[in-house]
Amino acid sequence: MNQLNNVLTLFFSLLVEAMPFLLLGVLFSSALLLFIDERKLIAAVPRNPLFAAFVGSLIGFIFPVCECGNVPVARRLMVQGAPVSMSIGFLLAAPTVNPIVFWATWTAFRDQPEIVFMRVGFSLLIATIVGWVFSTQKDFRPLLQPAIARSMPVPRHRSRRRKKHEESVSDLLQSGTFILGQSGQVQLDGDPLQAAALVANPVLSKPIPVRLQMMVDNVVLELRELGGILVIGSAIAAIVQVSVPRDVILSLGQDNVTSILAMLLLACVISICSTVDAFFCIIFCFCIYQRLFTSIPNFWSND
Amino acid sequence: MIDLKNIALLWSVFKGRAIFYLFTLAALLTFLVALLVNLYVS
Repeated sequence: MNQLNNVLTLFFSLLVEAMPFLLLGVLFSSALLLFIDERKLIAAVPRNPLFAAFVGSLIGFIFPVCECGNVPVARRLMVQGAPVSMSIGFLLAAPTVNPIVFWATWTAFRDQPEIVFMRVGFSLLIATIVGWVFSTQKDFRPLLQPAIARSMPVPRHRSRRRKKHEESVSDLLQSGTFILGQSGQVQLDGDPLQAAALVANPVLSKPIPVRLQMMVDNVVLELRELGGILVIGSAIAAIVQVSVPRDVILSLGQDNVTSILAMLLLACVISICSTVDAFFCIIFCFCIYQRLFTSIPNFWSND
Repeated sequence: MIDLKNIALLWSVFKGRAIFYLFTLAALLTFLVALLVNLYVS
């Protein structure tokens, strides 16, 4: 019964902590859908994958969301045609590289400002590298859920086989590849989804009250979808946390290498939000200081 | 970023293989950076 109480307490604490940030992320995602022109967004993104990943990692300063809220925003970025490196960079860096987390870490580690800068700097570095690595995948759609993959524009990369096929096809009018009634020949690169992505967002031409209503509808839709998933994720995290006590994980790490692995495992299991984890982390710093100061008298007494 | 609660959220966007790559790469780089900080900075 006590275990069940612990699971429920942890479950509700994770949910209460994460839900406002999920709501914030869904609001940003809906605003991106209804108020941002995809063509302008894509035009503003750097073409170099490494630089795109770096820019994506810095977006967190504009959209300060934690790891629960950045998933809908990253999903929206991908659907709107932003490069994968940028979306992955944002997904990994936004929970750390944002003003709220910077302030929270600064408050927790006021006496050690180097920790604040190392946290933000290394997060930026790791997110940029991972985003860059993911950009080597030319067509990212096989790695996405089918519903998301279908709504993504087709990448412009062409295989040798397709190029050869296109060269062999005659220049005469091809069915479905030309806009009729216009002077000259306008080829739409074959795929209707890509063609749709090149057309301006039709929602942007609607009046603001209609757009706001659509935004509210989208917020409700995304919140229902992701909120349900968050409930399941929080329940799993709470059950695992009670099943595997923190002391067991911490006892695994005793030296320079295993202590890092133990902390990585602990972070994965406790699943706390990036905005508050600095305060959780400082407890371990106090533990280390406590161990250090209690070991000094023992050292002298042993002598 | 890498936690149990987030796996479920990421599953709504990525397939399992992509989540595995994402988590493995991020965890490896984090481990390397933490090790360097542990050995040379602190």
